[in-house]
Amino acid sequence: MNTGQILLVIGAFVVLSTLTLNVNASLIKTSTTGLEMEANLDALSIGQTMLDEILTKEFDEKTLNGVRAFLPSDLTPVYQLGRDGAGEQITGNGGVDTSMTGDFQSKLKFDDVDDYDNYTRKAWNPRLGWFTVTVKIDYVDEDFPDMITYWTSFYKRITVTVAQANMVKDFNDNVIPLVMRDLSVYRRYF
Amino acid sequence: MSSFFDIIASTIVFGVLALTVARVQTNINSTMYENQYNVVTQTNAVELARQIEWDFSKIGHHVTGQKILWADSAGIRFFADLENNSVINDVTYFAGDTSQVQGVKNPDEFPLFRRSGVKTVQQNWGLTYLRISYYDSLYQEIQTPITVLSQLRRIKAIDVAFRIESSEPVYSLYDTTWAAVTWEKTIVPRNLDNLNY
Repeated sequence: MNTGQILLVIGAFVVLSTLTLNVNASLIKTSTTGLEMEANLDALSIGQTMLDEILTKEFDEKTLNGVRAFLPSDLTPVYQLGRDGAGEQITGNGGVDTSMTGDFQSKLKFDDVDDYDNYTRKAWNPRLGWFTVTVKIDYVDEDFPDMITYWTSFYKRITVTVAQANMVKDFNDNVIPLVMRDLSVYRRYF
Repeated sequence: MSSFFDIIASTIVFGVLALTVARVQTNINSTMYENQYNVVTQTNAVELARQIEWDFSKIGHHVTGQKILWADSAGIRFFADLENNSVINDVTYFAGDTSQVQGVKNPDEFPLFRRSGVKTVQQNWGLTYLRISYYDSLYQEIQTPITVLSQLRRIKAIDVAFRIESSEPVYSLYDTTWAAVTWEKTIVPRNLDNLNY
C-alpha cells in the first residue's frame, strides 16, 4: 500500500465512522422518544386523577354543608384562596403531599376546590419514579373562561401541571411539563 | 511480497467494514422491534384506559336500585346505562389467569374478560398486573372482596391500576426485557352519589 491508498482507507473509515455514529444517535433518539411517550402517558393519568379528585370537592368553603351563595361576593375572595386553617395543612415532606400508594392527605383534609391552590404532590410510578404535580386555582370570567379575574365568580379554573425527568423535552433538553385544565362551576339550581 | 501484505491488509479492512455494517444493521433491527413493541403496548394501554373510563364513569347511570353488585381487587360487576338509551347493562370485568393466553412468550400475561349481558369477550391486552381498589366518601379504602350490599353502597371512588407488557421480549427470543406501560387512575362515578362532580 502506498501513502495515497492508506489515506484513502483512512478517509473511508472516517466517513463510515461518522455515518455509523449518526445512525446510532438517530436510533437512540427514536428509542428515547418511545420511552418519553410512556412517561407522558403516565403523567396524563396522574394529572387526570388529580383533576378528578379536585372536582369531587365542594365549590367553595362558603358553600359547604348546603349553604348557598347567591352572589359572587358571597364566595371566598381571591386573596384568601388556599387552605383554610391548620386542619387543612399538609404535614411532613416540606408541605409536599407525598405517597407511594395514592393515600394523599389532600383527599381527607381538603373540602373545597380552592384548598388546592398552590398545592404540590409527589406521585409514585413503579417504572419511572416520582412525578411532581402542582395545582393552581383561579377565578375566571363566566363568559370568557380563559380570562383570569381578580374578583370572585361562579367559575374556578383548575390548572394541573405534571412534570417528570423522563418526559418529552424541548431543544434545550428541558422537560416540557404536561398542563391540564378544567373548570369547576357552582351550579345554582335553586 | 508487497502485494501479499496488501491482500492481508485489505482483508482486515473489509472485515472491519463488514462487522461495522452488520452491527449497525443489528442496532437498526433491535430499535425497530423495541419501537414496535413500545407502540403496541402504549396503544393497548390507551385503548384499555379509554374502555375503563368509558364504562366505570357511567356506573349507576339510570339505575335506581343496587348499582355495584360485586367488587374485588381483580374484578367488578355493576349496572349502568352505557349507551344512554335507558337500557341498563349488566357489566362484569374479571381477570383470567396466565394459562388462558396462548402463543405468547411473556409468562406473566393474563387476559381480561368483559361481560356485558350474556356476551363475554376475552381481551388480550398484554396485562401483567391489575388492581382495583375501592374508596368510600371519606376516601377510606374498603377491603376486598366486597359482597355485602351495605359495603357495596359505600363505594364512591374506584382506583384502577394496570400494567401492560409486550407479548414478546424486546431484544431477542431469549431475553426477558419487555416493553411496558403502567397506568393508574381514580375514577369517581357521578352516579354513586357524587353530586358535586
